[in-house]
Amino acid sequence: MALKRREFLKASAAAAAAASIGVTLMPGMEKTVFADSTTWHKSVCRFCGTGCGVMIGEKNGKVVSVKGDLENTINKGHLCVKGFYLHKVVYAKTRLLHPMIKKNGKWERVSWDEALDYVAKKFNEIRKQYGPDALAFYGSGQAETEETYMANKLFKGCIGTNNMEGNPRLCMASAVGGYLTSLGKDEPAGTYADIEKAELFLLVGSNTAESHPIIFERIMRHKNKNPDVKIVIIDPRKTPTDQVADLHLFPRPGWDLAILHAMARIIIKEGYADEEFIKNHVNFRDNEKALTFEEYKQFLEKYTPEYAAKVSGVSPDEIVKAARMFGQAKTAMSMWTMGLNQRTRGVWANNLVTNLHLLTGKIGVPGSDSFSLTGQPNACGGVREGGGLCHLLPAHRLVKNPKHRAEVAKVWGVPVENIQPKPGKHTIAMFTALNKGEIKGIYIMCTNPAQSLPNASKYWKGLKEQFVVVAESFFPTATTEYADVVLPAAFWAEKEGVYGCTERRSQYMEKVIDPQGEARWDAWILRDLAIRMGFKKEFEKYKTAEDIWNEYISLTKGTDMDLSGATYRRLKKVRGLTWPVPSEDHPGTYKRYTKGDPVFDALPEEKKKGRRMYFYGKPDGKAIVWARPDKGPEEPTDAEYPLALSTGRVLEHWHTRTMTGTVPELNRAVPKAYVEINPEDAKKMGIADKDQVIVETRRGKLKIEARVIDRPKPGTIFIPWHWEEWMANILTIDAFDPGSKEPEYKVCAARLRKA
Amino acid sequence: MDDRISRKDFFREALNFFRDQLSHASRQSKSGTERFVLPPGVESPELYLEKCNQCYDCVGKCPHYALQVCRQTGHFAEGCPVIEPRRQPCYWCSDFPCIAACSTGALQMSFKERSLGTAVIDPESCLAYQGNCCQACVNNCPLAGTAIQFDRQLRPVVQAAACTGCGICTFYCPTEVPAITIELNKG
Repeated sequence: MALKRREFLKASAAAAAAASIGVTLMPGMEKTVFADSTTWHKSVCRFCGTGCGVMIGEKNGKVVSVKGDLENTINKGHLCVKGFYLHKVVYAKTRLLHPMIKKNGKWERVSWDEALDYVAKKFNEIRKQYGPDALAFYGSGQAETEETYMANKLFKGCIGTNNMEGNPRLCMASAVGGYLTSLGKDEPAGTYADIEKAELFLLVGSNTAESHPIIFERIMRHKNKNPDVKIVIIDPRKTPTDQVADLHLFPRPGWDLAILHAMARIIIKEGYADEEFIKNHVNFRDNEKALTFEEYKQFLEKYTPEYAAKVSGVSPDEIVKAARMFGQAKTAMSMWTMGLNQRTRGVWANNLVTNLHLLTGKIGVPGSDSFSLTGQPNACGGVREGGGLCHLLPAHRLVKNPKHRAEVAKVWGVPVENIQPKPGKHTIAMFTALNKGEIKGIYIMCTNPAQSLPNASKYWKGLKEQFVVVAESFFPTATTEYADVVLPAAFWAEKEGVYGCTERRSQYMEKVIDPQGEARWDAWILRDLAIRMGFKKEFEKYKTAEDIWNEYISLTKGTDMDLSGATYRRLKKVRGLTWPVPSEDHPGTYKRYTKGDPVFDALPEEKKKGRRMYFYGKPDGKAIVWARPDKGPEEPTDAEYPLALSTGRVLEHWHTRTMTGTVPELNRAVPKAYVEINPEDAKKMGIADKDQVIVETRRGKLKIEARVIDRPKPGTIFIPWHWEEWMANILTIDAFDPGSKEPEYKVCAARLRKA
Repeated sequence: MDDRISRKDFFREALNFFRDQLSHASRQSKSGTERFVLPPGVESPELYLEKCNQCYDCVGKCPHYALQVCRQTGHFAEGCPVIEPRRQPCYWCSDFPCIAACSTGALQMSFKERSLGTAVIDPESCLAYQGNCCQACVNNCPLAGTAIQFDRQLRPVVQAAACTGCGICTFYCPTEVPAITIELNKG
């Protein structure tokens, strides 16, 4: 390697200078101080669903640093503090390095052969004795698309059970339901590019500043450049996102549906509705039947600002103001996360936000979209698109559709009868079945359900009693405690693959270093397990990650999420592609359902006549404005449990802290959990800042430090859920949305007293 | 090869080496003097040193274990109670048990409102000033919005007049050497 002139100069000059003052440069010091031999590899951040591009700095076979990818259109080189320290996670002391089997209650290190043979034998025994539905798979929105694809094929196609779920059920299922029922196809119509063109942002149930910091930064930069941009927040809690808010509505947790209806009513009454758009693009429905526009207006009559104010606790003036701001803005982008999704009426809440866009025609044009933010880096890519839930098959297909089953079975090379037509058990049903012993064996990959399930302690029984295999990069976690076998999985930067983020963008991640210890790539663990279970013919053909990806994208061909043009060859060069990408020369799609979307462009002319959008997931191409009732939370507050408990994230930590908990700098920033209490409530209860308090719900109690702060409104409390030691999920409720089956993490009734 | 090393270049690099070493050394010594702040209720550092009889009653009374004895040789407050924000900051109790415990007048209730110092940000090491998204100091500051807030580029800015110098920001700063430290008030 040629030494650059400047490097040589520096080194020699420094050596001379050091010699002149009698300092000997320590052995190796020249290297660390002066040599610039770091090579940079393009990748994607491992944390949230924003999909920030990172460059991994590698030196002498080690990951030494991470920096923002300046060329990435999403973050343009910016990172949040989690991403900044991501490289430290790779070498965490808690990395799981060897396969282990629990023998007589003790962990014993075993070889890969022994571990996989053991799991294969156990799974085959269970399958033979109790049938395929006694087995289950629980995956993750952090697994790569290739990994989820392999699991999908093994469980749905080979073992023959649809008991295949993933943690996106706990975070994104309501958004999926919302998009499917409102627009006909899953995932947003627009992309992040709308942010810089929007005049108004409606942030509902999202602490964007902490949960999606880079998106928040983009909004903030946009507002700074354009002071007329308005930001309206509907959220029961004051958060750092409020720094940019023009208007903040604070509904009582779980009672915001009426506000959204009242806004729709004002929008129509005051003439902000786009009648032309409505005529050509929209149908109306309630839970039973189709409605006319007039009937919908009748339905809305109930939702006067005063009624909504009474239900939600927000002043009627503010509701009117928010509606007018939404109506008056030329373009509007709404964003939401768990505040809407994690609700027993999550799908309805999603519908009602999209209603506002459909009524005003603020969709399908630059700067306007109803845009759901995703919480995990590959929840969209691997699980929603890859079909990693109990009712789905790859590429937005459904298990109940015979044509879809036949298409997938053909590509998988399995008999079509293998794929059951009936959806399997959704997450809560799956862990309930585990408790009951209906499911005897479960394979858990890349997630930590013992901590992340709502009402978590209820589901420990099943995990304890049944045969549990956990493939994880970290050990111990709350879940490995109940495992019978743990399999070390390669971590980010130790494997290649594709992540698909919030804006339909699929991005390639390079393998930079070899896995730590004996860790292996999850897809290969599944392949080798499948072969040992007797599915050699189906699985031995996969030799590289690209083999898996190519097979997967062949399944997307001709669908609404066509990824045929997103080959590895191309993805390795570009900073991701937003589907549909039907061919290698296609640049990717900015807006769906409209001109420029290849699916729209391919429609016959008579369908498109007089329309700027065609919602091709609906039979007549019309989206649906839903007249849903305004139901409150499953467990409203009462005299016994007078406080509404909400849980959420902080900027510095992520999910169950298996990753961020290994970074000392992040632990310093937020070392422990706390419960936020409004000063008014605290005064009444005689609680001071940093007191130990006991938070109690009908499901459990938790001793935790009080943080008296005016973030939650009086009557509400908030706990960040990342810590195993202060596990917020022993308090949360496991009631779920009947449509999306997503649990209501965000609202339950609690009481609090001084410890 | 025309890449010969000129005399000028050689000396420039040699000088740069000394400059880097010097600035490194000075930064280290700087963080030495800023390691400690004095407890609440101090009229002036001089009077504090004069009146403190090193009984350490206040140290035992601090509910947050923030007060400790300064053991740094050569420090102006050596032997007296101090607070090291990076280890444990002052949580500004409403009843100031440390002041109440002081019988010599080194700490006095009449000066309880006086700030311990002022937070100062080093833009060179602050993650936010380096273009990343970090909000630890602002999110943790009990006076966020008044004592410290974000500017339009999402970088923290300290409002010296409102800062109490409690050091909570220093405590939580997620850089290896804190990018925000407490500078003692002059005089």
